[in-house]
Amino acid sequence: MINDYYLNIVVMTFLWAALSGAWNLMAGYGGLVSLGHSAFFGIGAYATAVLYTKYGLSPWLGMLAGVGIATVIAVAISWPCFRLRGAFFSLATLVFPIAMEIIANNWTDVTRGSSGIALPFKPGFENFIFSSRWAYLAAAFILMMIVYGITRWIHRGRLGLSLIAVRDDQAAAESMGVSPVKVKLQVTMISAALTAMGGFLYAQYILFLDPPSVFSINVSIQIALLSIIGGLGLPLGPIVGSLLMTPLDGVLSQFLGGGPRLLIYGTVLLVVVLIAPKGVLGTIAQWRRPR
Amino acid sequence: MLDILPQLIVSGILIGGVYGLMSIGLTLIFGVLRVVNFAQGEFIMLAMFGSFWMHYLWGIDPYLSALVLAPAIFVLGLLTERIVIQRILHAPHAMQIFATFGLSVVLQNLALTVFGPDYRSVSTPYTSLSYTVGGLSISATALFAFLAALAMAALLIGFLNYTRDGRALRAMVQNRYAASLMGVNTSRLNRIAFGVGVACAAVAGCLLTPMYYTFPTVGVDLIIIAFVVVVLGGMGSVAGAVIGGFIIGITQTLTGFFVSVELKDVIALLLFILILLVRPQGLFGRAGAEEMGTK
Repeated sequence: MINDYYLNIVVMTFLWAALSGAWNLMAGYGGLVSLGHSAFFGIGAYATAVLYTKYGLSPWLGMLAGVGIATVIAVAISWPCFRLRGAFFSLATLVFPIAMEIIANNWTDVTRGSSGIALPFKPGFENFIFSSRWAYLAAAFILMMIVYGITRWIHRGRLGLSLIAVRDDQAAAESMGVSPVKVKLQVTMISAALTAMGGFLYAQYILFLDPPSVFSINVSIQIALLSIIGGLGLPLGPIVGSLLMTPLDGVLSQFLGGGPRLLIYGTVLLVVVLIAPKGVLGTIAQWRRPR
Repeated sequence: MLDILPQLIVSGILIGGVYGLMSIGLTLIFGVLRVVNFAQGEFIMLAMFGSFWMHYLWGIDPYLSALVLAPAIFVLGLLTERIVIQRILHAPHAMQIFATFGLSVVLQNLALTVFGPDYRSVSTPYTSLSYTVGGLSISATALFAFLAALAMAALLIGFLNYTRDGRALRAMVQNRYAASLMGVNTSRLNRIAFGVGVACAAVAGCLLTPMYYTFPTVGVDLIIIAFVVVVLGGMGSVAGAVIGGFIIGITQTLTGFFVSVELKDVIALLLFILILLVRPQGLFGRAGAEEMGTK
């Protein structure tokens, strides 16, 4: 019998694969290693929750609003950051979720501050709240497949090639007529929109939000970690990473508190980066194609 | 309202000295190794815990514990360089970031597992002592920390300017490749730079212990400030880190008083973005430093 406990792990596996896949678009293809994706995730989650609980707006419209807001904010904050290269870009992106968390904690009229927002449990298609976890499983799976499809499309298409060219040598790409700012903006908008959609799904599934649970730096780490473990810059990388790590995390969090759990996470991250920097898929591909 | 201004500026300068010291280590490591050490805050945290326990168990003064902890963290830095940093020096940016980021997650949660999440503080006879000079109230801990930070910065600048290794380090900051052609043993100096960089963090940690809470994630709060300071001053510039520390310290005390305490970090972060927009290389940095000498 498949019970809710296992279903929950599967939903989370798909959701994290989708989030990490969205991150992988920027980091894997564009070399834009964002440490601030929890900002987009949190905006997606908060926008729908606030509009629904405060103004009674349907979550379906709230989702569009959340995606729109996240995309606009992504453009506004990442545009200046494109002037920065490598680790400096990551440093700058680290700042945004921290600022968002402070704002969410203090803008109590809208976000209810640190006490968080509880969404009323009123199951129904129009509310995007379901009594069966199978519905969430389907939604998370669809989101994951959308992200995968977009990644494949970018991977093969003009945008992906331009991004890789800019990542590997910006000056050379520019001299070939690729506009670095344009392609970086495009991928950032796609990535932020998909991440906000993940945030929306998270809010509708968990039905409770508070600033640390969505804006925390740990969310950004987890998003990035899965792609790195699976294989950075590969369409299947985040999915493989999530299949390996999210169930493990589910088991770990049952027996261990936050400290030991994140200790294991950090160690895995460190070991993978040092020993198999191409991730699981990249390393397997390397074995199959010996030089 | 304005008569409090000198007081705020003095407090800002005092705390800015400690910010400067935290940031010197970060800027030195970046300048020499071209790696942004995301785990720098965790070395501060380790020193703070070391200082806390030495005081709690044996009653050793937090300032004195720096004499033990700075060498200990220096050795830990040498080991870290050997095990982690050395392997990623020529790796892509993403791997460099996640190696030091992973290290920071490991150290943070190791502390959380071993010491627990409690906020601890050290109480010394001078904790609440303050001097009054010309109508200005100066907290003793902030004053000591400021003076020690200046002394440490002077020591480091002396080391960089007047010793053989220091000169070699400065050569590496300018151009690693050329320095290696001139016979500089870059792998040895990488290790020294990382060790000295985290030892600076350790001293900063010991200075902060009497006036700040010690807890496992304290490094996250501090590293963000250090990043802002270093980007403001210019990555790789020691003088920039010191002056950047003063500017951020003053900005924080002013916004903390005139705007709101909760928003003082947001203002610092806004300042950070503004600097990146207007002058990405910082006040004393050179343009293109993030890629210089790495290819």
